[in-house]
Amino acid sequence: MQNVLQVIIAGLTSGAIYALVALSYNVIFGASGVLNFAQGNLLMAGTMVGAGLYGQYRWPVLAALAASVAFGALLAAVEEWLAVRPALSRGQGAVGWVVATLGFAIVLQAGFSIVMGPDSRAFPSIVNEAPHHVGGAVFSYEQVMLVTVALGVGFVLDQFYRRTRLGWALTAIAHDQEAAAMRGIPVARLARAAFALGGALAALSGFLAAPLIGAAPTLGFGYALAGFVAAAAGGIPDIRGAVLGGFAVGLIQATGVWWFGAQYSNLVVFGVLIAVLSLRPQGLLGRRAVRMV
Amino acid sequence: MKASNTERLTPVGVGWRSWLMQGVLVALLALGPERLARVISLVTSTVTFPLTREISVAGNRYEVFNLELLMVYLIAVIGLNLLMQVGLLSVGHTAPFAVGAYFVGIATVKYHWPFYGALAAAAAVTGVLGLALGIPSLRLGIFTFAMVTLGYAMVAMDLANGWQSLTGGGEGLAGVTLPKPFDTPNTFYWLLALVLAATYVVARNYIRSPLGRAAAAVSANPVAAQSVGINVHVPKLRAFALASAFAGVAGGLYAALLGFIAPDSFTLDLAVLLVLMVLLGGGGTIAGPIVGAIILFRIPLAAAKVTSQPGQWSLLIYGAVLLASVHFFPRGIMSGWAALRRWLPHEKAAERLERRRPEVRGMLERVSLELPSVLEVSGISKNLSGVQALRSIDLSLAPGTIHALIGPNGSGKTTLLNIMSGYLEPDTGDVRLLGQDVRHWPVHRRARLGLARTFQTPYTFEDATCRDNVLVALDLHRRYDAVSNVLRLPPAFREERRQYKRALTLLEAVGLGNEFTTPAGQLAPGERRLLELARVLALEPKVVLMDEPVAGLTSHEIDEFEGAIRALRDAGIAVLLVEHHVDFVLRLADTVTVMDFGKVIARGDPEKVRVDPAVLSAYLGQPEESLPDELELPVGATAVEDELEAPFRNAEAPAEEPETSSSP
Repeated sequence: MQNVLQVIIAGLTSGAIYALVALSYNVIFGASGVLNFAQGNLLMAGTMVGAGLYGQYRWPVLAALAASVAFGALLAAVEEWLAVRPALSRGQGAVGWVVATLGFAIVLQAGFSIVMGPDSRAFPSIVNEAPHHVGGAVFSYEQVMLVTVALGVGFVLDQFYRRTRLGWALTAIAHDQEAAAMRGIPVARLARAAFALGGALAALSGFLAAPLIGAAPTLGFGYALAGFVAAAAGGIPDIRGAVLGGFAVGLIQATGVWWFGAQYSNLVVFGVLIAVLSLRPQGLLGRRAVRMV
Repeated sequence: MKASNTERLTPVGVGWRSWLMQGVLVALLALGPERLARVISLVTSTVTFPLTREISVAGNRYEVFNLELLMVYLIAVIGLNLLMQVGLLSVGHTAPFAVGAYFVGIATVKYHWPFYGALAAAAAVTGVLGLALGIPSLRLGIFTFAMVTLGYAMVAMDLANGWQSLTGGGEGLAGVTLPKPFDTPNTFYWLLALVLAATYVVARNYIRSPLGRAAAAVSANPVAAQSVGINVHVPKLRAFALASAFAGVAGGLYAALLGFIAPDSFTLDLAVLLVLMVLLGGGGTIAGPIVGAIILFRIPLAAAKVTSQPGQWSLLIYGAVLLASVHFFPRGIMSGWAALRRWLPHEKAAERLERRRPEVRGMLERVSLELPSVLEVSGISKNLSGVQALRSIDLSLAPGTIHALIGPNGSGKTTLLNIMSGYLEPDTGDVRLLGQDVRHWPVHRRARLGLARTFQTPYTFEDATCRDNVLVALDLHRRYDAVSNVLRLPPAFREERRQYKRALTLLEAVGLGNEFTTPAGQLAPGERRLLELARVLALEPKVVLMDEPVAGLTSHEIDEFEGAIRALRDAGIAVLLVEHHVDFVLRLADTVTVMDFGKVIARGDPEKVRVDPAVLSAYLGQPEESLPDELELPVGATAVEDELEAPFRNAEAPAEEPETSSSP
């Protein structure tokens, strides 16, 4: 990590992961009004399932990827059914769903470490190509792939929300759940679908990032935090904001680590969070919402 | 009746029940380390019996240590409870705990500070850190706050690991000693007992004081809390600072108890365990966290006996209990009492109705104002997500008059009310209250200046008693500060007694005297309106804005309300009445303003407005025809009515992260 280019590459790579997690937060929040505490642990599930199927049992990479993503979607749908829906329907307010999703996140972390062991696992590389060297800096295909996928998913989601009927329906829900329901939008079904999509996205980012970050039951909450910082910096639930916020947080973190050392990476992310909350609580692209009470 | 009144008027926390509970606690602590360790180990190991198949009744070193560890946790948990009382969740309460532990450890070992000085400084440092983090993060919702606490815990651990020269890094910091004269394991117990008792008393007094009432109000209904003059950020900030300081003290005692601290001691499991202890017992109750802590305390120890991965198994249990709590005991097991009482036979609302005779006339101090208008808006326009809700509205309320605001659904009446009371800011125009420009003032400041309002659906603090619902508003005029209230200094305590009397008088005035200790959530809809009225009277307002005060009331209740509103006017208060019940309005109002599509279409005395062609056409779509005596709204109005109410619903909506949310 001596040269600036290397720092930028590192920042873009982790930024891509944060952007994907931020996108998954936003997809779920938009449709359900819930910020899912388990989002980082769904990413973790993607790394662990991938490490099992692809690393241990040697499945073909695409099959393992598909299975991880499907499993992430399933887990999130189960979470919606088991934890979120009951909390919302019992009218406990925000405390209810925060407690419920936190409980689910903890169950995921403990469950994976009991079933697959608490230790970090190496994850074999997905693309067997030698790393590239550019101007004294090194990067791998996995890094390029992550950045591309983050940008691609962001673009597709942006188009989806802007151009499709389903996207409009989801936008309507994000705006006003009751009004949307009154106009015949199946709010409850779309909320569960959004959870599944958010879970799939988190697991996808976990699987793709695993060759770089490894697979471990404990890595969830760190990504939950960094991804949330990215989403908040971009302005929840703005799709472009999430991508922008993700890369911004990644680059700032990489710079901070370069200056202060790797042990302060959380401190840098935390600093970004406090700065965003102090200076621009609505996020970079967020409009200051009409505070209606 | 007299005797029961005296008892009812004794401020909570000094009645015989409360003395009994405190007597039991003192007696338990007075048992001393070995005997209490026997009791506690028996109780806690009974809970974990299904896991470990063993029950421990021992007063040995090991169990005394366990007891002392439990007491340390209790100090932190009692603090955390204050945070959860205001409706917040800290997922990283290990952070202030660790900061306190390291602070005391480093100060005593490396800089040879005296232990007690270091402990006090640790409380101050963690409290100030709590304030510093709370200020930016508490403006947003509970999730953002939970994330900030999670980050706080991660950063604290990184620093503990990384700043080796100070903290000893991963190897930890050894050599923290027990302070004299409590320097053996058995005598250290007495220091813990002392601190724990002090913590308990402070927390109990806090919860029962105006501060605790405000905190509970903010948690139960932030919109209504603002309307009685509470700045919703202040109780949150106060609670986080207090909770952090308590955790800091607990951490300092922990460092001494263990003699050694390392980053491994402050894991996620511990943070979750602390939260769960409060949640299981019931956040915001006084006994809840103690019960929760005793039940859960031994689970990590039990897990360590039966598996090789104790941390993971106890985490799994915590996660499962968290999930179960949402389903089965959202308010903790101590709320079982309240649920039980609801099942016991009690007087039904309908029976109570018979006895009610509201008479508020004598309650009101005469307000005399020299101003021509108390509240005045001019040129108000407001666009609500693309809909022009208000176009250049002027309205002025004179003291001692009733001004009615009527108009078809969707005409912008509630929006105007929201702008007047401060829930919405107008795009253009001025709002003047008692001659002051209050356009940018938040709700609570306007309330303190003398603006009160009621809501379309009555907003009460459901879990709180009728008494507390009124006290929250009476607290606005309290003279004594927070510290003397929490310490229960005699003048503050006498004031509390006076406030209780005043609350009872007000509740009697609106006819709810017998519901003094009934939770507001158990009242019938009409009674909630009366409770809201009592709360408004408690504010001693100069202006009262009422949003459909008689919607959903029976004709008998409407008559009761009519008298109350007249009494407000006769006391010199300016009343604005938004109402659909036209008959009622025309009977009461001195001036009527009619709105349609965000514009004023008519204004004048009731008789003039009654026959105004523009009004007739707006209401009936049939110009040039006189109004029938009993004017009813067109059928199908309810759907639109819902939309009118929608802005208020957002306040209670599950997704409460309004500041970061926006529509793409």
